[in-house]
Amino acid sequence: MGAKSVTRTALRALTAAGMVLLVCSLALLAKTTQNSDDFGRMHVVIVLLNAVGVALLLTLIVVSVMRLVRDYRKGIPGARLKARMIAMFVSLAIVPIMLVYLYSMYFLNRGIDSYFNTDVERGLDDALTLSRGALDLRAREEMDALGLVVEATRRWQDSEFASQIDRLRRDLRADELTVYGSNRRIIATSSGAELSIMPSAPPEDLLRQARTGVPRITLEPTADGGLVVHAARRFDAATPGRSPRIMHATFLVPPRLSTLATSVQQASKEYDSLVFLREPLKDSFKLTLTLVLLVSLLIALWGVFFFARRIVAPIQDLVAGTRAVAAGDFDTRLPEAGTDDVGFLVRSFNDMTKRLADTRELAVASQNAMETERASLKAILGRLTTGVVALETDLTIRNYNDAAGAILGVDFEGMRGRSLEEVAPDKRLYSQFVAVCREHLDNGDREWREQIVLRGEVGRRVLMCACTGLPFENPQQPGGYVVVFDDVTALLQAQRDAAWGEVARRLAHEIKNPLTPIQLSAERLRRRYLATMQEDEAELLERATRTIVGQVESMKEMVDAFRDYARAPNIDVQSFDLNRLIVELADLYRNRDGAAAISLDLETDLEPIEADTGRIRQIVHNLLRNALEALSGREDKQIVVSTRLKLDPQVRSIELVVRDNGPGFDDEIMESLFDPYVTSKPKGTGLGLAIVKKLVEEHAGQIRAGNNPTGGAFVDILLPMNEESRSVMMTRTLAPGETRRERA
Amino acid sequence: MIFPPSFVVLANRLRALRAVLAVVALGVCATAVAQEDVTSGRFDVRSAYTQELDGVYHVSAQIDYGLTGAAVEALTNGVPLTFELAISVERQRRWLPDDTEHELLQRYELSFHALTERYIVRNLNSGEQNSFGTLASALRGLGDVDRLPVIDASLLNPEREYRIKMRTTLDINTLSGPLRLLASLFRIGDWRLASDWHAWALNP
Repeated sequence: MGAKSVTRTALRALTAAGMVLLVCSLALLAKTTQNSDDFGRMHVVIVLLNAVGVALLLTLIVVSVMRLVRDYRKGIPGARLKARMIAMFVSLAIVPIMLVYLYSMYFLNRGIDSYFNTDVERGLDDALTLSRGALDLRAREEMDALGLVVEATRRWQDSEFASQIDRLRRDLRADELTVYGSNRRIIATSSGAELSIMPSAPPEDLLRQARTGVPRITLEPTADGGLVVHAARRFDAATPGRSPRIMHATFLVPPRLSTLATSVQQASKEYDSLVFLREPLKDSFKLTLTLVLLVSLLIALWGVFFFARRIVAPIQDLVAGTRAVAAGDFDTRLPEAGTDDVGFLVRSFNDMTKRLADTRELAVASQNAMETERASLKAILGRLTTGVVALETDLTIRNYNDAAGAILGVDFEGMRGRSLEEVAPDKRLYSQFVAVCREHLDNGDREWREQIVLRGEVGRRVLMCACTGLPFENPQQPGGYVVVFDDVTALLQAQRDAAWGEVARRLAHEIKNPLTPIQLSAERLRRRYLATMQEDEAELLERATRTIVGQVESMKEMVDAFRDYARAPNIDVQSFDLNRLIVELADLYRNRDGAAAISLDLETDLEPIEADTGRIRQIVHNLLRNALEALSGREDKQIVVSTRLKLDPQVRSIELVVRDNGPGFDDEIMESLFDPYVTSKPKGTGLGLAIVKKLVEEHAGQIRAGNNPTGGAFVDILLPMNEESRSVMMTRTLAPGETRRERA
Repeated sequence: MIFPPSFVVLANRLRALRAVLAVVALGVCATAVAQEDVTSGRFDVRSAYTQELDGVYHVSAQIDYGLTGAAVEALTNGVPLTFELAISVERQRRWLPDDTEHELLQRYELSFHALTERYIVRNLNSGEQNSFGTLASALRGLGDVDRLPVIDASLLNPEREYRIKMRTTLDINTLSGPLRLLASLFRIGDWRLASDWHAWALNP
């Protein structure tokens, strides 16, 4: 238990004790209001205690109200609910309490007033007057008797009074009889009480007034509750010159009469007192009632704040918890809130957050596993040389790998989620691929496999394409597709090259063998029979054998060419100046008959290239010859040979391009430009470009050919400058994603 | 603090009205009996002195008791009033507060006896009582302190200096419940009646 909760508990205990004390003091106040003697001085203290209690409660309530207003303005969760609850409870509490208060006030005023009856008051006054009259009558009789005694003793000397006073008192039936001289000097006195020596003192004003000559009677209450009549008369002293004497007699009123009269007096006194105290009584009742009401009301108000706070606290916790959960904090746990409905809600919330947290952990774990899976899949896809494109049913791209873009010659970057048709609509090759996919989609094919021949701007491409539908859970809504494709152009080419190599070898073997006997036989025929024959026959023989020997020679050349084509690669790498080689060959061709204008555009400061000199020489030779043959019959023959170093940080390579202004390649042969026996020239063997391609590939180089936009053809060759670059280019050839695939 | 201001104002007005009525009623009586003002609302010890008689110091004093209208009204309506006469003998000290040597509290009750229409002054300490025909004479009788024994002379040190002081007050705690409550809380001016301390030297 923390210090804060201890303080809170102590505060609550103190508040509860204060409340109990306040209620007790209210009870005491009610009691003291009714009975004055029970609590004496406590009364004021209790009132003040209550007032202090009221002040404290008011302070508490004001603080609570200020806090509520502050929370309400800040929009703290639960503040509105609390304000509404407090407003409701306060109105529920105030209305009945105020009604009770107003009615109590009304009945208090009317009720207390109704206790006092004017008839009773008048009756008591009359009874008092009657009693007074009866006593007065008796007193006058006694006064008269005293008058007779005074008359009878007017001539007496002081000494006679002293001796006769007892008798006089008895005759008079007085309880005391005293004769005073001047200055209240006692001349003679007699008392009925045996132990009395001194007479009881007369009322202070009695003798003074009697001395004026007016007989004086006074009725006086005694200390023991009885009544006594004092009668005094003045008379002149017998001895002339002396001051007048006063005879004072007291008569005790008989107990019965005295009791009755005192009872009437007591009743009248109490009634008068009550009448007089009516207003103060009402005031004090009102004060008490108001205090009681105020204390009750304030306790109720404070209670409303207290309980509203207790009721709203778990709801505030719930709101805060819900916000935390909404913000993603599933570790929120709320404090227990009892066993009621709110407590049930809090427990349910805690269960929910716990389950959410567990689920989130599971989800995170599963997501991590999925991410790992996805990363490995991405790595696999990335390393695949096969192009993979995953598509929705409407050809929207879901996923792809780098090889796909490389094979199709487009950039898929940022195209995920967009249609396949939007990637590169202006590219001819790509559009053909999309059209094939679209056709299958429209036909409703989910599984298909097809070899697609795509015709591009610089040659044809053969793709082996396979498509399969992705698995789906909802049969009404089929999933997408995954299209897997590979560029088999090179493969097919290699197959074709191999086939041609085989054909060449067989031709060389099968054809060349019989050619020599044929040639020898023809020469022998010529030698033996030419001299013996007639001139016209000899001429025929001569022409025939020459034709045979010439054709056989020609066939031997052809077979040698085939042999060269089929020959196994055996590169003899040397370092030499490529530009110089090109210049030599260009000069050679310039000096021939019907030569073309060969212009050179060579890279300056070119370092030596590491390659097979003979093969490179044959490449350039073949290209120049090809160009010249293509230009045969044209007036303006233009050949441009250029070399350019390629700006690639990893590979140092040189690009060799030969352009002419001839008729260019026909579209028909464009697809099989590098195949043997494909030519558009009347004198071509069809092996020139095939051999060039073979030699380039033996150097791990790349070759492409096409037509210039301004007319004429071009052949573009990329050759590595050194062994290191050759190795890199060899690797790239194996990884098609980073290779120039556009081989014509 | 507790009542709204309007309530207090109303209560004050009612009290003021009652006081006026009481004064008027009393005025009729007073005119008939004696032309003395008994409603000055002040208690004052006019004179006091000490005299030693038979080895005992006695105090004699003249005290003016002037009641308020509310007190007179309460008295005439049967509410007894209690007065406290406090006499204190203190030993004077130079550097320290004076030391109380002896205290004497005399309590008197003044009441009106409706049957005999007399004012009764009773010494609550001794039970002795006197009656007076008028309120003025009763107050005069009450204010006439005649040789009240205070302290034995043998208890005092002749080397020391002493001082006697006396004061009289109206004891509102003996009033009846509601009146006491209201007197304590609201009628301070009407009911909180007390004289100043009257002090004089006592030289043994």
